[in-house]
Amino acid sequence: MSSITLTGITKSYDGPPVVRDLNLHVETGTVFGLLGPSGCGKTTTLKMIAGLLEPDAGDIRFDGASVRTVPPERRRIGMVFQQPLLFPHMNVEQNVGFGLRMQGVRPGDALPRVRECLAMVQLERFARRYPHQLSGGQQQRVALARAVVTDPVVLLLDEPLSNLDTGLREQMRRLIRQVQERLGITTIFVTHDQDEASELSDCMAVMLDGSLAQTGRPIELFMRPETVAVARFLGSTNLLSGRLRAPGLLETLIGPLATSCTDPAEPGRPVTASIRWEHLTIAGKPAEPAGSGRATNSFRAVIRDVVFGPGRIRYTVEVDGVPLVAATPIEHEYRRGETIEVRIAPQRVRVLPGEDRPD
Amino acid sequence: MGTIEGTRLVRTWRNAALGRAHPAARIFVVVMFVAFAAPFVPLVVASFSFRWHWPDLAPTQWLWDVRGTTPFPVGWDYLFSPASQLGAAFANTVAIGVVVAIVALIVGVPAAHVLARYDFRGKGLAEFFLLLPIIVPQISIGIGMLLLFMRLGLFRTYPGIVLAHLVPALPYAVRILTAVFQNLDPGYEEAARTLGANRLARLRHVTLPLIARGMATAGLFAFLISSNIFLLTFLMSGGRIATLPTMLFSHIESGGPLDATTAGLVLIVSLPGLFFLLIADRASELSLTVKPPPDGRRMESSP
Repeated sequence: MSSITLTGITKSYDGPPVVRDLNLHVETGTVFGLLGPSGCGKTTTLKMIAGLLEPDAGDIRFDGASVRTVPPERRRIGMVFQQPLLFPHMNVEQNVGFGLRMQGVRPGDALPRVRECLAMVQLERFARRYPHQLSGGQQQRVALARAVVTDPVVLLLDEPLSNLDTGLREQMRRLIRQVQERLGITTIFVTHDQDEASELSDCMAVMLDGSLAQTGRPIELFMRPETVAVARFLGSTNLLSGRLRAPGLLETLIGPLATSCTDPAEPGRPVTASIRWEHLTIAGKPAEPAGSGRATNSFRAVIRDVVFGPGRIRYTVEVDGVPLVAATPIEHEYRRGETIEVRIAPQRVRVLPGEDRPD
Repeated sequence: MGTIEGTRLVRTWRNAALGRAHPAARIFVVVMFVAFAAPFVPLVVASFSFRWHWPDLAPTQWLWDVRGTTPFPVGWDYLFSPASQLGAAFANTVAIGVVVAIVALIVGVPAAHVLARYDFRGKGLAEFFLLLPIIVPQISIGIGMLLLFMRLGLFRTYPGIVLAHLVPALPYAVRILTAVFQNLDPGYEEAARTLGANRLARLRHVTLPLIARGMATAGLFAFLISSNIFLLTFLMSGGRIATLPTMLFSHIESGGPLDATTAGLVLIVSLPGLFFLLIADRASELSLTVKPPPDGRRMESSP
């Protein structure tokens, strides 16, 4: 097991860099989730760590020792790709044993370890099958067993679940976590699915346009995004462009908005308020006539759309012509067209520098 | 080697003609089969006839009617007598064809790999030159090569003929192999790399087994092209090295009616191709019980 450190990694194919001055550190034995939209350079980064691609600049170190000149076949990594990529002319046992065979281990000596790894992914009974006789999920489990059979120091997972059906994904996620915990192997997990990243990772990073926009524990990223781009990518939040009028007070499209967030202190600066869906609360019918002596951060709104989902109801409400989303527990159902009052606790208003520029 | 009965090719045809195929498809298969097989019927008859003139529907005199009465053996008797040198021509054809196929694969596999996987300066030009021998008439290539080979001492040699055959055979082999590599997910080799396989091990354990079927097809094509070439062999051999096509042409150049000997020879010339097609068909079935991987397809859930 070893830690992984990337410093100043840059890579371009033809044209602008796909990965720009990327710095990253993964602690020994932890799972690091690299989350980003397609085309953000996350797979390129993973392939550079594997050695399958060469960075233009920067250094990659395992436990402090540079591996830049080490070819992938000697980096002691295990990798699972988006496709299982099992060798079709070998059966499951031969596929899993391939890494050991490459190390010169005789088939007889390799067998116990191969069986052990197959047991880890619960496929002992399929040892003699050929890849085409397995389902997609089973194939991906064999690929996982194959990747860890040689006790690699680093496990790299490149969207291993993206081709699986939803139910199967859950199962595979648990399996990956189990295998990782059992082996205690340093793991980097690339995905575009935030549920996957937040469930599997000890630490994760949002990667946008070739560099890490923010790194932290999953819950930190969701609760305290640092830029509009991160908040926008993680989603489930209302973004309101505005200006800082005074410390703790914003002027936004829907009117003045109080916030306990005092970070950007200079008034007049363009900012964006981020209010998570579940923090926009619906306070029932407006008590007093509009405009007169409203409570702090209380707005008159009209329900425009109601979507029922497991565990919550999602309302699209309109405040002064601005659509906002509120996610509430399933307690009371408001109907489309109803006029209600919404409230936002000042401590739930996160202020991010810059304007929200939808792309 | 099992019986021909069991090969995929034969099964495919039989299933198509007799199986549960759509009636229209069955008719199509039968028509195709007749179209290909029909010309062989008069050939077989002619190869046993001594006198068969138009407009007679059947020969008026068969070979066995005149056997022993002719001054020298005719028909099959002649072909299988040492005087015909059919054996040497057959051996030459097969040997040259096999060597052409092997060389085409040795040169073609790396070439196709590069063409399929990499972009490089002059790639378009390289592809154009590969196509050229198919576009330019063989006679132009042949005369040019002849002049060159005479100076190089390759005229009237086996290597000279093999090189000449490679000119039309290699482009086909490379085109087939390029398609094979384009269909081969580079991920297999990457996966093998991460599992500790060096270049040689990847080639041996991953790439070659995965392209074996494509190589069999490409090699078969190279062989079939080689075994059918008349003109280039004729030019390069200077009459010294006979193959089945040159032997056949020397029999029909007189332009007379098709005699039993020539008819028999035509049948024999058709043999190597058919024989190798069945071998390749059988071999590819035996060595590769491989279904295409489910790449790009959404995977189903497992129990």
